[in-house]
Amino acid sequence: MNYNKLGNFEAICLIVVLFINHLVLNLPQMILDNSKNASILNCIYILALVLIFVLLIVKLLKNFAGLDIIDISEYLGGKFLQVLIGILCIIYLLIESSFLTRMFSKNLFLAYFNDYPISFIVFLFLFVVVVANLMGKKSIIKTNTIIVPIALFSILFTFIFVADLLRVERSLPILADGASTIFLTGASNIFAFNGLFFLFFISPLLNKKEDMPKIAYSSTLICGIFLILSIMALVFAFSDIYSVVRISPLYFIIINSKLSSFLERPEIIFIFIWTLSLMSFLSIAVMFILNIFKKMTNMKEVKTLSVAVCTIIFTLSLLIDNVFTLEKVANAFYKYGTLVLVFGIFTLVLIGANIKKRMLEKKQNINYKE
Amino acid sequence: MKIVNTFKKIFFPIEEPSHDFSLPANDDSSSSLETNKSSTAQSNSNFSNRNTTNASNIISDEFSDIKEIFPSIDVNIEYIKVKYNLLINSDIVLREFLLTARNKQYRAFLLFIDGMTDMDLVNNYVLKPLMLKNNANSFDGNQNQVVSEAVTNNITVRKVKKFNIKEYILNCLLPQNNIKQQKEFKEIFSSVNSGNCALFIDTLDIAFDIDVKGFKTRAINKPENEVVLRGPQEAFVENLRTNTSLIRRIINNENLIMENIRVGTVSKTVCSVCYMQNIANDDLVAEVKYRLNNIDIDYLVSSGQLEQLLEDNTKYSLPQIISTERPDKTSTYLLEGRVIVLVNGSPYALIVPAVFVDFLESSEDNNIKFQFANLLKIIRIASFLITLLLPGIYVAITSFHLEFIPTELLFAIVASRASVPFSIIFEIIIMELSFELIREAGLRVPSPIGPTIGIIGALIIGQSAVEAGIVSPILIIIVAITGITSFAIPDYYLAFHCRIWRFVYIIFGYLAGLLGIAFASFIHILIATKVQSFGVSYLEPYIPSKWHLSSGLFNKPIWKREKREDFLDTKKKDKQEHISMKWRS
Repeated sequence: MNYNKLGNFEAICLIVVLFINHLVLNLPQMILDNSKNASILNCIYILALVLIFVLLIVKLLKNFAGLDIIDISEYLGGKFLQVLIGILCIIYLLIESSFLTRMFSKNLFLAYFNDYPISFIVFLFLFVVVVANLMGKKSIIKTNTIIVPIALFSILFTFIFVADLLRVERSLPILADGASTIFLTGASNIFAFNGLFFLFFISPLLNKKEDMPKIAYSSTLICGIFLILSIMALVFAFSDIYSVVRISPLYFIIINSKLSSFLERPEIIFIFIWTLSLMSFLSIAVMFILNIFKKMTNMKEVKTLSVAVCTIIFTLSLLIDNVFTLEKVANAFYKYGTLVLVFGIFTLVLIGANIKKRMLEKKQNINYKE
Repeated sequence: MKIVNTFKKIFFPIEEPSHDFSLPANDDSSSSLETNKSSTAQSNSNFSNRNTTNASNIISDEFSDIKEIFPSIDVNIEYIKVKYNLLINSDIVLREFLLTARNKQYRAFLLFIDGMTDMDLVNNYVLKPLMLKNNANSFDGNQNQVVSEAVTNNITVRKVKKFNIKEYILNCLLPQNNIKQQKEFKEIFSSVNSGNCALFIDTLDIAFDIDVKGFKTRAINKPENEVVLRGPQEAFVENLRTNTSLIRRIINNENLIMENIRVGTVSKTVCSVCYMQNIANDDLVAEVKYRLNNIDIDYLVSSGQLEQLLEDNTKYSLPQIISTERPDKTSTYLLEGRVIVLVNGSPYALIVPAVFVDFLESSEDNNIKFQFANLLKIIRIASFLITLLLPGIYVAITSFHLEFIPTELLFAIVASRASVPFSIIFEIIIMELSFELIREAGLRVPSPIGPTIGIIGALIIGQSAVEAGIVSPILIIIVAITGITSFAIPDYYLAFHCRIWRFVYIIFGYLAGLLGIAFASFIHILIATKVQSFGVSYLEPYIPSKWHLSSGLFNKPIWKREKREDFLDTKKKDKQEHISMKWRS
């Protein structure tokens, strides 16, 4: 009766949670801005690209079963590289969490809490995150396993409720600005799968290390399918949506659907679920920040540092005043930060570590022969 | 540590205890007696009593290291007189008499507690065979003592067995089915305290522990708190042996083990650990026994106390052990591979481990078709959510999200609250507290006027409060629905948990609307995921996700319930064949 390790379902939920939060906030908007009507084709294309990338990562990680990217970077470049990669990961998670919290709080502020300052909403989020981290890793992961399926179902429901609005003709012209937008510049849209960030960290937590490929493919497919569905819903339901929507596109879908005759504003239920989802992500992000910090510093007990981490997130999230500047910076960081760190640096570290391992093994073989 | 201690000394000075009823230490008893003498005039009235108690304590302390029974009957009598305070203890009986064995007489005495023993048994089957001359005790039995005989050169050599009075009394004089020879006072006192009688005989360094229990107990009645329509109508009682027999009558299997463990250094309450030897996980059984053996308390009087002492997480109000008064439910769980703890003096069985879905299960569910049971479970889940969240959501919506309500309903709510001078939070807390008050008062009042309290509470106070404009009618509806749904939760502790958390949701709802409800829900889920029951995750089989291995919340058809719960890790995984209804094939 030992539940210290992650099962496959728990691991998939861990990877998917970051994606869900972006999906309900700004991800469809960003893809629609880039690819317009061609977004559907673009999403299918980037899903294929990401699957190839995942295939590569899984192969590279195979030689380091039970190690995360921090351990692998230590293997490759010693303590220096470990600390460097660790700091980059912490910065990425801190900024990602801050921007997500701020943007979500901004939406809540605009929709429901005009009388409250945004800082109060952000504070409430971070208060819960501190409580979660004091409760421990197991609780956070289990809670996430409850919330992620509910959040996914809520997104699925949004598509069902707009079914009567869907018109395939609205997707025309399907190639929008041309094939190059889809296949060349559109390739950069793989940042949408930034949930893969956690793929580089879950290996030591897994119950069955050999199930890593299953987890990676399943989570990528889930993200891909939901991304395609949400883009399809937006493109088929609204003409010229990419120039209209400036708040969360999924929220926009719900407020335009006729959900029920009893509830005047049914979107509040979805906001409720997505709030849980954001809290879950924030708790996981802080949990990983503390975990990375623990590895870098060899500290034994880091739980209480969650207060400090949340204070930093609180400060960062309120750093930018202007909403438009915030949106621009957040989107830019989301896109380029993910591309550079997850698809760039992590991959390079893995390739380097594999080369080093092969060279060492060759050396050892030569020594044996001699 | 030093800094902490210094800090404590500065800010929390240690005060001398002001009371004067502490017992004197062994070595300076005289000085303490003097201290007692110099106490105030008010305490002088109790002085003599206290001195007597102190004196007996001193003697008790002198005897405290005595363990084994003395061969001298006088010393034993003296020791028992001191130990049991025979001078002041009215129900302890020490009956001295002359025991006749093989025509010889020995000094002996019986020790028992009046009211705990069956007097007929003591008189007719203990004292009578021992005291009165009869064929058994007059017969010297020399002939029977010859083990072997050989004749050599007209000389008969007989090998004679030495006479043993202990065996003689045990085998010939006491017609009882349950007698033990004890060498230590501790064992004897423990038996006497539980209703047995002890027989001491001069020159013997042992005493006979004779089972003559015969105290009055309550008869087996109908269950009062877990009523079912189609099921057995028997409930546990206070007597442990009756309870174990109720379970044995259902489970006719020699693999059913009932081990006794005593809890409480003073009360020495007998707890029975019951499990199916061929089904239950050995580690689980060992864990239960380990926890029971390592409870260092003076007394244990109920299973409710034990429940709190056995729980994994005591900080959280979620119930972690199932408590039931039904032998059929207990037996079902036993056969599933769980472990049961019965406490002597308590009409409830404790079942471990327990997961959340168990608390939404009613005893009725196994007696009715799975479709009915599942419908009832859906209703219970809805009730659980309504009783927990409805008042909080009402506060959240009326304070923050008025646009969420249809316009007509919104007008009705606004109109009903127009004459109410208080804020919504004050109004709802007042009403919730009133409801809790009526519920608590309903429990305390004598049963003939119990319904009256309900009528007064529900009709008169509710109606009057609305008419006086203290609360709005819609709030009365909310509180009433909350109250009714709370009674639909089968487990009392889970309903209690909902009562506490309801207030948390109300406060969070008032602070930040549905966002606040979301925060409270998140913390609530975190707590539920943190809780474990004997190492089993509270949200099993859903978290960790193993629903494909377990039955989960909803009942399968009875012929499809082939596996035992995966989280129990039982020795026998299957509880029935793949095809159980063989008559169909």
